Amino acid sequence: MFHKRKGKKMRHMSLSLESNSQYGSLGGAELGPDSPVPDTLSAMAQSIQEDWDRCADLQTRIVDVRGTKVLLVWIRGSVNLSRLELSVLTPLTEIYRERPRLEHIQWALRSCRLNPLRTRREVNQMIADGGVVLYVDGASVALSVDSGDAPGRSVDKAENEPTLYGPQEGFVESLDVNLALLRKRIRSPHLKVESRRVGEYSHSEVSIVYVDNIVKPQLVEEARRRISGLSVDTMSDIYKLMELVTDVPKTVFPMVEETERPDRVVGGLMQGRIALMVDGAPSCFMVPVQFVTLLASADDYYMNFILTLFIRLLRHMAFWLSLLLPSLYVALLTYNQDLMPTPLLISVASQHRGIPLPTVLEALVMMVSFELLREAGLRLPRAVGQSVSIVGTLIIGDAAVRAGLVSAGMVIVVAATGMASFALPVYGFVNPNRQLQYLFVLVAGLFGLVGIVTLGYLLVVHLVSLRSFGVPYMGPIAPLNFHDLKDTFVRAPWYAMDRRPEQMETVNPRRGRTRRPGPTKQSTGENP
Amino acid sequence: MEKERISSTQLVVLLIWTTLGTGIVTIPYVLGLFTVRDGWISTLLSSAGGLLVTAVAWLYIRMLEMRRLTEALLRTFGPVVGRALGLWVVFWIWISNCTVLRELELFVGNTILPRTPEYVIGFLASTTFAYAVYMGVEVLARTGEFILPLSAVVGPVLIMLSLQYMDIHEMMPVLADGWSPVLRGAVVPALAYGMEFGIVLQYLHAVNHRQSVLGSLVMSTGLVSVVLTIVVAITVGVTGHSVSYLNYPVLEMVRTIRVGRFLERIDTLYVMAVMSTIFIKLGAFHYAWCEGMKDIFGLSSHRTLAVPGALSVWAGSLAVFAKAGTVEHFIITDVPSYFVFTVLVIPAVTALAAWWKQRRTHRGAPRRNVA
Amino acid sequence: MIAMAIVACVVSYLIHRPTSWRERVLTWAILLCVVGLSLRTALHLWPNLDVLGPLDLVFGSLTRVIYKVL
Repeated sequence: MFHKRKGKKMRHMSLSLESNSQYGSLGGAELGPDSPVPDTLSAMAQSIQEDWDRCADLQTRIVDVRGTKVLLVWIRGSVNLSRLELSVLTPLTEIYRERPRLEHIQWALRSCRLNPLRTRREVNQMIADGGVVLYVDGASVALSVDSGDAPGRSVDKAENEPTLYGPQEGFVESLDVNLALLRKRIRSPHLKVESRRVGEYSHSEVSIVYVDNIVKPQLVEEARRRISGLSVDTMSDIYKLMELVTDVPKTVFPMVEETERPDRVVGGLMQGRIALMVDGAPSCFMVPVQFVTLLASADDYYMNFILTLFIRLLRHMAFWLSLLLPSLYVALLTYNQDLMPTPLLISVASQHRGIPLPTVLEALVMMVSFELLREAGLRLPRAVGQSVSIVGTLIIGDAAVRAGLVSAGMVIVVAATGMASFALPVYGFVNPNRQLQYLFVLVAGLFGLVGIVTLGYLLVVHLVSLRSFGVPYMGPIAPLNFHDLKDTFVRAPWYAMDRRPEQMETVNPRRGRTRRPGPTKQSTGENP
Repeated sequence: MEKERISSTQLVVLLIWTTLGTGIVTIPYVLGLFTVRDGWISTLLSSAGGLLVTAVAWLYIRMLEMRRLTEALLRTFGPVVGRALGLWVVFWIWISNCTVLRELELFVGNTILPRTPEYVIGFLASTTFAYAVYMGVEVLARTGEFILPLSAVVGPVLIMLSLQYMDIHEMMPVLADGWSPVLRGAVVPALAYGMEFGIVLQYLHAVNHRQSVLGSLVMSTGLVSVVLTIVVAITVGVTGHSVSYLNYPVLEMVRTIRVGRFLERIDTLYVMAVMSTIFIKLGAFHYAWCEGMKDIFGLSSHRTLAVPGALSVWAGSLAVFAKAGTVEHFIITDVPSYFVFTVLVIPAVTALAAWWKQRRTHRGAPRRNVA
Repeated sequence: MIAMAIVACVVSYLIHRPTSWRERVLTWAILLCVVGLSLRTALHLWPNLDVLGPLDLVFGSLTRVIYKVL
């Protein structure tokens, strides 16, 4: 079912392999979707009119070329009209032969990329894809003319994954552009792109991208198998695909690595992973993914490796803090006061004097209001959003404390938790952590630290039980793999990262053989 | 489904937590009943228990390959006797797990949650190991692996911090009371906790490499006895003769740690750390129990009884050991010979029976014509 | 504790439904045991039931011999 993508031609050929369901109703009772193109212009025009009934944006033109009628069909808005005029209409007027046949017209249009369309399904798909269909009266095939110009934006900065260093390009909503962005970085025929149309109505193109002499073949096979099994009406974004191909649907943690940065995808492909891309989605996702990968940012690979260590450790800390900080505070205040140093305990206890709510409720109220603020700031237009956050900060941060509704300590803790959650490089981690927080605060209120340890243990059991496309989620920590620890809490220098992650089981485990940099003996003038 | 496998590292980690989980809580207390100054010699001697288990495991694997103990019992002794012996083994695992859970309930209840009912603490603990066992042996082993680095950092830090309060003279003179108290003190660590390594016989089907089992046993025995020796030595060095009056000597040792005005009273953290390792111990025993029940009753999966079994351990821990003193009495007076019989005698007899059976079939079989 | 036990038993039954009659019988037997044991603990029923009695009788004396020898 999958085919190697080689320009549009191959893409069209795959159409004959698609399911019949879409065209069952379009093709009319007497003619099926796979029936050949009608052999007269009037029949062809009628068949298209039938299939595209009540489609106001369909444009048909019949041009008389020295006695031969030529039918042109396209969708308004998805075709560049000036290009159509320049590359199709002008050459047609320059034909001087009387009653030209198909081959004469093909010769006249030789500067365009033409592809034969043999069935009604191919014709309809071409029109839907935004191409121009050209039919010469009496011919047994129609022709597709590539002058599509689907609306879309140009390559822009990656908005959601900003970095300080490195390339800034981000994916856009066009699969072709996105693939070109990858090809620009991996200039090798080993970069393979296998495509398949998914969605009964959307016919979206879903591509599996991998480097064939690196990736484990079974991984690609598994991805093919999972995508082949899909049966949906539309597939317009990667999020639907993510949910449909994941190993464990019932988990809150991200089981794929979503990114809109081509450089990050290239890094993933070089680790022996595969990327799944959907036409129309401005991002893609990579599998298999591991927990530690999700706490790495593209900046880590551009920065000095020594400095990365601190930032990575900070991020790991931020993950656990964003999960546990409010609950630890509640546990310390409610059950385990003995853990607090005496001066701090006195100060915190005095803050809590006069607060009407018990600590657990106080924490929950603060967390809910923080969440409300965040949600409000997210949904409102940017300019209003900022003012909401200012008002919220003032009211909740200051007025609530002055009014004696909440303690200053609690405000600090909830704000610090929010900060910690924003320090996570992958947004997929932010929401699970923010919501699991509530559970942790509840058990902390009920059982103190014992509750937190118990729930934490259950969480660890859950995390280590996850697998992403067969690869353990918590690797290389559990199961332990010393070699793969090179790119977890630390990012080893590039000369030391000469091997790809072992847990990806790549067919070509060696990245390179660069020696440790430094002056050679010759350059320093030493004798060997 | 792919067959679940655990590596030799994971096995070592699992065995270490299996013994150390409650060992670190109870062994110093038990030692205190016999000897204080020479407690560290007793823990060193306790490695004999693990080595005995290794010897039996060697014999067992030679004769019965990588079969689980309960599976091997059924194959060797037939459905009736095999099942009866299998039931004995699963009962042993169950009662051991009840003991462990009861120790945990008492430990947590006495130290940090004095007003929470013990059955609630026990229930919390049972949810953890029920879930871990339900998810399978790989998950259990990985959880152990996940916790290891945390304790590998926290443990040495606690030891370093407590070294400043240690007085080496508390351990002098060495062997002043002769060998008798030392050997008596070594009985529980060697024959009760050491025998817990025997649980490995229920894990053989899941181990990656056959050759690594014995190595893993020796390694974990060595590591456990070294860790216990260090802990006991420091505890005795810090708390002195009061070890013999304390219920949780190591906790007292941790309680003395104090750095400046900000790091003090960290015993709660120690309780938390011990608690999470006991969760793994409970899981390790419970998985063995579930696999045993699967063999004996021909169940479809170990998952069938994972949750009901965990509940039975929870209810059993409180019903069997109604009084707190019963646990200690059981560990000191009954467990050593009970465990020796179950972990050493039964597998050894099974292996010998399998050997005898093999020999008989070979003799009975028609001789192959060599010419 | 009894209420906790009963609720937990029901939940446990819902988490993993036994597939054959043998599994069903065994699961119910264990769950009834759980309820029975929690009844014993909470309401002090059957106070004379000493599970450890036989073990103590056999192995307790054996262990005492070990201590005596040492």
